[in-house]
Amino acid sequence: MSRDDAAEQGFEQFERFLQEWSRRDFLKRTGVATAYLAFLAGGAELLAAACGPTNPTNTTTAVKGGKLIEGSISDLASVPFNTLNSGDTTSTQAITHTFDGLLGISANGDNIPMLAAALPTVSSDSLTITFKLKPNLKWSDGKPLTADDVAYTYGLMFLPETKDFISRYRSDLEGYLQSATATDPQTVVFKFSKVQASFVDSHCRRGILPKSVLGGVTPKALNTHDFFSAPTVTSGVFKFVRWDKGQQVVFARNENYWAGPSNLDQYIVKIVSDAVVLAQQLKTGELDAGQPDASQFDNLKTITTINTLAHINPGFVYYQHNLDQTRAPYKLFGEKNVRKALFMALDRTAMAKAVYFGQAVPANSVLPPTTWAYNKDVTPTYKYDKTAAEKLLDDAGWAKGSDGIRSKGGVRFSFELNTNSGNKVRENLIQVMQQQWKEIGVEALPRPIAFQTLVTQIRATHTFATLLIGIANGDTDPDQTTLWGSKGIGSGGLNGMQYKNAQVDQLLADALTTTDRTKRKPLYAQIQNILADELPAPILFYSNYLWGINKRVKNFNVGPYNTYQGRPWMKDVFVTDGK
Amino acid sequence: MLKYLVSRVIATIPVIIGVTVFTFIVMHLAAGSYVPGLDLNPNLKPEDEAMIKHYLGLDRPLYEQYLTWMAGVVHGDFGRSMIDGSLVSRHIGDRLPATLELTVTAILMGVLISIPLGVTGALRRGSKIDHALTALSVGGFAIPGFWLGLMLILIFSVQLQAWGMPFLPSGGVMTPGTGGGDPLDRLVHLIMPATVLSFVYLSIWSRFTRSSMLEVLSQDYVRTARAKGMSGRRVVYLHALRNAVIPLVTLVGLELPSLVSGGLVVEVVFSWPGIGKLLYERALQTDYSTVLGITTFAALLVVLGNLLADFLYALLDPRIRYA
Amino acid sequence: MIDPVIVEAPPVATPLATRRAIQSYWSAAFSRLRRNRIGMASGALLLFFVLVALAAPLLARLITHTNYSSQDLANTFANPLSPGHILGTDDLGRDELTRLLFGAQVSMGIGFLAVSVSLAIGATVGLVAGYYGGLIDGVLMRFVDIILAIPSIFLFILMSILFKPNTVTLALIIASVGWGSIARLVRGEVLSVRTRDFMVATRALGARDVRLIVRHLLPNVLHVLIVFGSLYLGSVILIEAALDFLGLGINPPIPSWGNMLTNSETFFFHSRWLVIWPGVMIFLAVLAANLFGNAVRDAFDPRLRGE
Repeated sequence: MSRDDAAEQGFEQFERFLQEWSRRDFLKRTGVATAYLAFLAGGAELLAAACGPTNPTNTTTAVKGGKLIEGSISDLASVPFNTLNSGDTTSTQAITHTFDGLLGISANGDNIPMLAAALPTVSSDSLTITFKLKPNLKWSDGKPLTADDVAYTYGLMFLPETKDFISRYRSDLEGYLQSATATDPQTVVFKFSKVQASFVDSHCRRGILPKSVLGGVTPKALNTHDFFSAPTVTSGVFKFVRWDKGQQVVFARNENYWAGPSNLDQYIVKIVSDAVVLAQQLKTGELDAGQPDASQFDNLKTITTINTLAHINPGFVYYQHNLDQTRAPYKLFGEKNVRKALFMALDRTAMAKAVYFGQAVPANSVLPPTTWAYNKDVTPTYKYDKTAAEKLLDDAGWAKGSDGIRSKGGVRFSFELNTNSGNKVRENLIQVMQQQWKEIGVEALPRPIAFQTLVTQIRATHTFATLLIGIANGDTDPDQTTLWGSKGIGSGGLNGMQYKNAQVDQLLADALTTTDRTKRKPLYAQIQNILADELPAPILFYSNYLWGINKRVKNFNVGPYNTYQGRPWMKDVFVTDGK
Repeated sequence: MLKYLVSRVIATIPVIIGVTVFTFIVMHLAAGSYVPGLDLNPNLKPEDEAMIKHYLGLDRPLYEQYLTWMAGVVHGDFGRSMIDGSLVSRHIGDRLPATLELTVTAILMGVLISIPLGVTGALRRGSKIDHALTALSVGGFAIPGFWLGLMLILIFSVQLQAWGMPFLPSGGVMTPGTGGGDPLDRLVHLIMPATVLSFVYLSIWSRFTRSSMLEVLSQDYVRTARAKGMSGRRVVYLHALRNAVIPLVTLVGLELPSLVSGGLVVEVVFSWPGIGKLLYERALQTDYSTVLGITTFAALLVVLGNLLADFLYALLDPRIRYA
Repeated sequence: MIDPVIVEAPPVATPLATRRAIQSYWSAAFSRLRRNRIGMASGALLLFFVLVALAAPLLARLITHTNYSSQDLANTFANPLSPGHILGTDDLGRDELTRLLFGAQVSMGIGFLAVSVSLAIGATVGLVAGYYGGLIDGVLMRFVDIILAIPSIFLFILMSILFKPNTVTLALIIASVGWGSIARLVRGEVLSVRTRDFMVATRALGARDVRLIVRHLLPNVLHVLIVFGSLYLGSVILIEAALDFLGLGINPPIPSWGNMLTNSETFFFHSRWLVIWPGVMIFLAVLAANLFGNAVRDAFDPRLRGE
């Protein structure tokens, strides 16, 4: 047959593929939707089951050997293996594979003992927490890992004499943690001056550092120590081999791992420029696993060599208004009803479908449904309602001018809308938001800026008007002081709105004074209601994590809390061809 | 000749100074108030800031800072990144080979293909082939390089794969994890970006070769050779071709400055890990110092390249040699 | 990057009798141009793009009934010839044809503006350097050397991140590099002209410098400017599109043919058309500009045709 005929046939094949995936796609979406609803009903287990990985967890015999190449769109940050000051997901993920903590995290956010022999014992007054370590723990060089290492590690985060060592968790622990002592080589005792309810969930997964290597280094010198760029010993499932900046990070099996040596010889993180290229490389087999762009997901489902997986992301996408009363944007966003009007003018269902290709759901609360404190009855909730939005703005005194844009008291409702550049989804979002706000007479000027600048804006500069950003949650603890509390304003937190609400502050603090979930839950429910009413930073979407995993990879059991936060199953991952 | 060389060197010095002054001024305008390390540690106190500034010499008078910058450049130190403090010179060292691999291949392809194309056009002047080749070269020049790259990727990488056929890789220099040893693998990765990059050279040089060839063919000595009874082919290959190609060498020489920078768009489209792509990525992160460091390096290469070209001309052109 | 331009100088502008010779030079050139069918056709195509650019809002209102930023999230990736969208829609449901129309504004606008500014600056510098010679010439030409030493694409990217350009500033950025080559060319022309008798004579008569430069030198270098300008237009359109594509030029929602291609690869499986239209537009516009430029060059210097 001629070349044209062959091309025609190929084309027909392609058309048929397109038709087929739309059917499969519908089924997949129903699956996710069902799972989400199950979650709302409080059934975390249902989610794990309904939306679990398409790789079955227990398969045929594991094959030893070979390597797994995972794609990542960002490189490690500088000093990436500093387990006590990691601020980005790529570095956190690298730490997950190299430095185990006392506890780890399961796919749905439960604590599991890693270096610890079991979950800790908590005294009745909640001021003493005791951990017993597993016996015979070793570092990758064979030296024993003891409670001394643990005490040393935690000491770096709260002791006054280690103040020169910078850790982002110091402000959390200072004032609460009084001492961390190794009472014997297998036991660590933490003593608190005040009850810190979030300690076990939030702080017990920190990678333990080797005292024998770092103990002699001054805290100040530790900040830039080479060990954190190229760790010589590790305690996790892999050893660090090398980091070719901008290209790849290579790990190898740690023979002395407490859970036993991994099946894989090597694990490589390959850095690709964006999530679209990542999808492309999944298809060619250059990558074995990775998180592709939503726009490529449907196409990936048609590829026979790849399993796809979508599960909920325990975070959200939202936008912050700058509520600093001394700055200009306050004139625009200071009033609650104006913020409500802006939120109601957004057709989030349509946005989820068009911009996220269906891989997101409109959000209704500041806590995602993956956490036990999620208030499914949060009120008020908001529907897409342009007319109501316009009425609220009219009532607030914002009158439409001849150019269609509202103004009040000589101030035009015009502002700059930022998000991080390079993220196509976010850049599209701000354009859609611009358009939808234009329809109610509000002028938003979309301008993507570098991620670093965005974070600095939130933490320090505060000259922005409104910015769109996403939050990824590392653990299930519902404490969000960094986001909504006064303590979260400034360099340690993410409260770029500079929102100050005394009631919310009090509730946040109270909720940390007990470990009893039945007492904490109603407090968080209240917080969610207040924030849903005040809308200092309205939550737009809960989105999905999307995965493409080559069929030769088994036991790669990523889940909502097992994307980068922890991967306790990593040692069981194997590749069927052993290569 | 010595006088000529010395005068050329003297003329080059202000340009070098000018380039470094320019990049220095831009650096200060863009990032004068930037404090390295602030991104790593947002808790930086004013005293610490002052200490870092002093340590880096940022509190010294401008001319002193310029001299330090200049001295660094002379030693091959083009500054440090604002984002992560890495040495620009190390980045250049890491990425330059990949860029050169791409641009040199593209130029070679351009030369090797334009000569036969141009010669064919000249020999078969006015024929359909000639018209087709002219159209191709005019069209080729009008195609946006990034678009051509996109289309090639979509056809030869994405679409072929969707049809289950063997396909070309869509980016990168090698298959990951192979260490780049397999020449066939590297070739397969190189072919599309090099083709796109050579396209523009092709369109210009084939036209130029054609007109150069035509001019040579109409020269007296060619007609003489023909009259003497030499076969047409010998005439072409021995005399005309050699003389027609020499001006092409000049044109190719004009392109040498673009060895470093010319591949930028192609590098970005094909994720080719070269200097252009690095500059682009760093520009998106507003890492001014890396961008400026690379720019200075490239500009200096151009200046030195021109100087070298002047020397070579001096060697080749007897008029200058014996002056 | 354009063909090296070697242009034959027109007859010298002596005060008296040869004014007719000048006129006949220009009219001969124009008639050569008119007779060049491909040249005229491409000139017409170029004019078409200019008119589309100027009339884009009107055309949008008449033909597509929408503007370039109205989104229709329920109707993304519509195929061409779907209701209301002759060329389909993009990833946010915006009409492709309308965006192409407004994209013409960006390409043509920036193209012509950048070329004009380049010519203006380059001509001024070249005239002054060539006329005064000596130290002024030396300084100005060193300056040109510096600009030309820095790879232009790097310089564009650098200025783009410094100034975050809108349409006008982007044109100025592109112009800020282009004037260098023009200055050199003009200076070369001036050097060959200024030693001629008429210049010495006019100087002896006491004419002031500015008058000499403007009224006597400028007309003689005009042909260089015209030829270079028409050849440069195509390059400018290509450079501008590339910068937009990289995200360093005009950014959405303002459509430009370059930035319409930025995400088109991503959406290939959703709509194959998005990659095609803007690229074809750029190709046609640049082709028209180049062919017209070639025709202009041929008209003003028939020697170069190599016949």
